[in-house]
Amino acid sequence: MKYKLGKTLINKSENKFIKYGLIIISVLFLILMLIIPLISIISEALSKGFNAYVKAISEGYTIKAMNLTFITTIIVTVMNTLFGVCVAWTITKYKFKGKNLLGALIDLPFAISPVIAGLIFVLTFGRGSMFEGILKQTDIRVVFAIPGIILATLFVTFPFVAREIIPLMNAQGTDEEEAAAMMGASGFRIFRKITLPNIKWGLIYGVVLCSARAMGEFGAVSVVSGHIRGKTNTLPLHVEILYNEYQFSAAFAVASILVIIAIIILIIRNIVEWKSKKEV
Amino acid sequence: MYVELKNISKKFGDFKASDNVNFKIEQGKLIGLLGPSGSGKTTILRMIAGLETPDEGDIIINGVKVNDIEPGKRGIGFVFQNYALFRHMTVYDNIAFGLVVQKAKKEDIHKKVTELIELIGLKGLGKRYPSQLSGGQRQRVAFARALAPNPQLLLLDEPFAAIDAKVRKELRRWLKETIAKLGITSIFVTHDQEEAVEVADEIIITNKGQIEQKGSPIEIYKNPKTPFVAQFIGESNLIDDYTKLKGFEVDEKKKETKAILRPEFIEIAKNSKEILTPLAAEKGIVKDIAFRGNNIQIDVQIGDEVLNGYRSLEQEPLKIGEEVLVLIHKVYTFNDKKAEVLENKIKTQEISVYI
Repeated sequence: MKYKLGKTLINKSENKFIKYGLIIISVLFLILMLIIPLISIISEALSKGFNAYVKAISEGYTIKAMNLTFITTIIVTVMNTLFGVCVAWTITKYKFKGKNLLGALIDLPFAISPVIAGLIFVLTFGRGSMFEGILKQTDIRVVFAIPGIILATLFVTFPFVAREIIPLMNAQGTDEEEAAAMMGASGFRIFRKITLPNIKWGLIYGVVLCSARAMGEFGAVSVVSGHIRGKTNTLPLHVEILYNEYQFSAAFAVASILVIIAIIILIIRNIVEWKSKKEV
Repeated sequence: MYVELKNISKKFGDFKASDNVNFKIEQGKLIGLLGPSGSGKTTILRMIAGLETPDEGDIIINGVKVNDIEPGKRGIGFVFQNYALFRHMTVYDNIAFGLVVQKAKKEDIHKKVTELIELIGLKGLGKRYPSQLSGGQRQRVAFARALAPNPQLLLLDEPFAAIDAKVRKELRRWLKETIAKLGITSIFVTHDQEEAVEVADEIIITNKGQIEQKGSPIEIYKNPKTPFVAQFIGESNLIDDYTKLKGFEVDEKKKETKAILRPEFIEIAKNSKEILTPLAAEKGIVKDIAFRGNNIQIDVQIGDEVLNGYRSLEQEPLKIGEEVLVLIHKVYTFNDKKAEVLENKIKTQEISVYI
């Protein structure tokens, strides 16, 4: 009934006007904000010819930055997937005090600026921190080293997996798990046979988002990395260094790698979304 | 005694879900746990299953205290209110799950599952997913899944709540027959008294976390032991002062005692020819008449009270405003402490005179 009322209130020509108006605004906005910048990145990258492009992306420091980015992304994604599933399980399947607080804490990295996230780790593990003594004795470097980069990226990308599957697990409740438990299934079997298949697509979606963000993280990593070329430079940091050195086409070439990966991730994301909808 | 609950108490925060619950159930019986929502019936069921832990008291199944035994090792089959079928598994895999967990032989699993699919009348639908089944079919699958591991006790939480009225009746009868055929001790939770009366061998009535009464449906219907049961079971007219009614006068009025009058305790007659003992009847005015399919409901005013009763379709029709004779056979009286049945004194005297 409400639907009908809405239709009669806004007459047809007005309805059409609003519809196309909104479509035009959205498309223009996307062209201005996304398509034009993307085209300019690719064209800038190729401005000195294809050979220069290949040379720029196969240069030693670029390859090293790429490796570091991939290693970080893989480690961070694996760890955050495990953490995310654990936290989501805790929050959705158990009742305990402070549950809401825990739920809010998960979102903290979304609210905190990545630069501050980086600073947190510098202050926690850097010079003058409470861990300085232990770290010196054991000869482990955190700040201005790979562990720092991984920690900062972990922090920033922590919410993705958990946030994606918590609503899903909440909606599904605990009935199926209880039913399996009634039949004597062990906790691990329940997780593997009941919970995991039910949250599969949400989980994959979260993992995709998490890895995309891990790959592109700049602010937090910039603070803890120390920008040591060939050692602690990730792809986004490498782009910035090249840019600051006025090597524009090289900077855009490296940036284009990130863009291409982003587009691939976007396609995977859409396939996942489509598949999960089809299954429901 | 097969299942026994001893002094069971359970709190959720400040809410007393179970308050010193005691009962015993014989082997092979089909028991209905009946009560209004929030009366603690589901909590009792979940504690027997082991899905909740009682704060106090013991649960004994087949002579063994099961308080510290895991849900899966209690030998209980559980049918959940919304069935909780494994949505990404086929009907076959759903039913087979418990047997796979028990590491039964493949041939045995196949034999048992095929047998159960046949029992629930879903032959040929083994490869379907739960989302491709109707509500009634899902219910049957949930039932078969709970039965597959050969439980000693079957628990059903509001088994018919999510099914539409027509299928529900059919399913009720099917469930009762099937459980009787298998001879498995079963407890089901319901808030629908019609359902409890129709299906259960014995009913346990819960209210505010306590057991009000336990007995066969007829016993509970005929002889409610507490005010709550008297009001909860059956249709009823509540009467503030029953001593004004003819045949129930008392010399000394007991204060605070109210009465309940079931429609079937009332005989409404057009004239004295229709009643055996017209002297015991009271005069009343017809206030409203409603056709109810298999009978006619009459609202009749006696003094200040409006009571409702039934007349059959074969009897001579009445009109609104007509004066009629109303014979009240008996009432349930109750106060805070107890409930009892009172018969119409004049009627009993009159009958003895005839004899």
